[in-house]
Amino acid sequence: MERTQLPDGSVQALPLPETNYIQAQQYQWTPNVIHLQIGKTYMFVVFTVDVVHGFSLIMDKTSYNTVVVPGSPATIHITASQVGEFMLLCNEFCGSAHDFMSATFIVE
Amino acid sequence: MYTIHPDDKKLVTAFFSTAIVSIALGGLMALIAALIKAPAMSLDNTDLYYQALTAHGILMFVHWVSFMQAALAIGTVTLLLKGNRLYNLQLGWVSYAFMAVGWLLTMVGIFGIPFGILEGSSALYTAFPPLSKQYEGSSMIYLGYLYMALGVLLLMINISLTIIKLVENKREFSSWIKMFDEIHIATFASIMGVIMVIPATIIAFIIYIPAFLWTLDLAEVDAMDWRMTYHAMFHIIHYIPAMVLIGVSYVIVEISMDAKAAYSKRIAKYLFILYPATVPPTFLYHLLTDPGISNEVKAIGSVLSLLVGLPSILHMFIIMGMLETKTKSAGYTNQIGWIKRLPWKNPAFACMIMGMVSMGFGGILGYLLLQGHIAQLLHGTFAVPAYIHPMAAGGATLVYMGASYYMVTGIRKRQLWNLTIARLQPYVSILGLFIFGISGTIAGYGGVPRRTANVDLVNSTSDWEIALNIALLVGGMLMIVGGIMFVLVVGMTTFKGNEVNTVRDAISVGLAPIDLPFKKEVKTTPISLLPGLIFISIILILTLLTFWVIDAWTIEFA
Repeated sequence: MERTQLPDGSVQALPLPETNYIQAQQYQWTPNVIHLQIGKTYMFVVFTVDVVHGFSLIMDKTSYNTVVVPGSPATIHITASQVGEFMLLCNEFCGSAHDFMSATFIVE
Repeated sequence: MYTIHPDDKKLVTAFFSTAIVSIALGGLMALIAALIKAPAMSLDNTDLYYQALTAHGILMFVHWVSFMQAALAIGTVTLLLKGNRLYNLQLGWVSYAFMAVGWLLTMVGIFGIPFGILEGSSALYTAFPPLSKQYEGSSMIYLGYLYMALGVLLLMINISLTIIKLVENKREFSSWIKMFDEIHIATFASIMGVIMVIPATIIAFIIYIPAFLWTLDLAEVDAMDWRMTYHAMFHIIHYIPAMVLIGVSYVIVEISMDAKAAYSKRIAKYLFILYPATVPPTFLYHLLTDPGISNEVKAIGSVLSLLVGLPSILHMFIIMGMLETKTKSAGYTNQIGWIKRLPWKNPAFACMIMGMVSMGFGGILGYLLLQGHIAQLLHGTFAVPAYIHPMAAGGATLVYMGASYYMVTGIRKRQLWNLTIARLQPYVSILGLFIFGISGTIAGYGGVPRRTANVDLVNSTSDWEIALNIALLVGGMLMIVGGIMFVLVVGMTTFKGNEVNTVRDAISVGLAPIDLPFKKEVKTTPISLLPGLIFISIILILTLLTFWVIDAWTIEFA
């Protein structure tokens, strides 16, 4: 996603048919801030380079969760239907600073 | 009356005592973890939280359950068979020794050895590679699990040989059927337990031997393969309590109510065959959110999982039927009124009923997680402990607590110490489990992660803090208070209970069979159908509600 990097360091995701990658690594998601456009559908391949992580996207009143295991990337299609900022957390214990492993999806 | 040889009793006592120590320490660890996680407490000690959570999981889920089930299994082939001897007592002690060493090794693994000799592990009871290798103590946890598995395997062999010894002519099929017909229902449940436990211990060797060697840099493990194999073992292990608690419940109903089966004992026994038949193939539902599993396999797992509660629902109907016919035959024929006549003040009976209620309640919450689409809403969230505590942990623990009251009074020939505390304990525990289950599920629906000490990040985007606080500080604390009451009563009864000469005298205070007159035999049990119907109806309603929550997602996923 380097070619879509914005000046503030965040990243503009590319809608289908492009593939976007998110890397999980103790204790950060890369990229850390991801912009989405409302109504467009995106494909994300989430992979880990070290231990098992949990992809947990927190929405207004609920969440979407999937496991990311070394050697088995998770493919997720996302269509945002509401403008706002959404927190991405790790919900599989991944080590001492697991609690602070987060990123942000910004839907515009 | 049940009898047991004094030497066999000593072995049962050893397993039982270790189980009680495990639940006492496991409860203490739960207290630490709950206080740190509760947002209202604002305690910031993540390292201690993960260490306490690791210890809580291992002490409760592995040790309390395993040692207690070992004691119960020996009881089913000795005590329930009128003083029948364990096939090989020495082998029984070897089993105990292996398990006890396993217990010690896991504790060393978690808490480490001071002066820089060994750093403790906080890799949780699952100890998934590759994370586990980052903690030095994980090797001791794996080794402890291996010792536990070997001890359990030897005990299962011993139990099997004890059963086989009962068959008069081992070459005649009819002799086997005769033995199966004659043994107690709970003994039959133990046989089915053996059938499930032996493969689980073999899988334990398959995963923990390479994992132990891998921590010493002597082998490689594939994270995905290991995880999948682990879940096959974990799934079987966490359903064994669901089966054992049913077997124990039959015994408690017999002792506390002097009730006999309203339906064919043979049917009740053979229903236990459904556990080894339905449980192993359904392990796939633990992997519904894992990326390496195809949708077709996940669909099979989701469909098969619907079968897994079937034997327990049918057994509950039979056990309720025993209570209904016994009470109605005493003349209490009012369709609801007979329930009031049950011995609610007998702590063992109350524990048994509350255990079943707890398992049903947890089962309702758990069924939601078995459905592929919903699993992605709840996986890894606090909804998981919110269901597993009432279902496998709470259900079995409460029934085992009920059995413990009979065990401690019977083994020690002492009357219960402080009957008032014993009578309140099951109700305090179930209240805690209900509050923990409901509030925890609400927090889980809000996305609160399961194994995260500091949930401030979640709370910045949603307001599920209150639900989590109630789950941990009200429900969790009530569960811990219930546990303290139990350990206190069992501990004090062991050393301070009134000494008497016979087991009959020992159980005469609070645990004696209810004295019901016999007026007219009643054979129909319509009210006993209700728990199963209510169970299925609530699952349907909650499933609909959950799909409604998914529809409200502000981001759509595929």
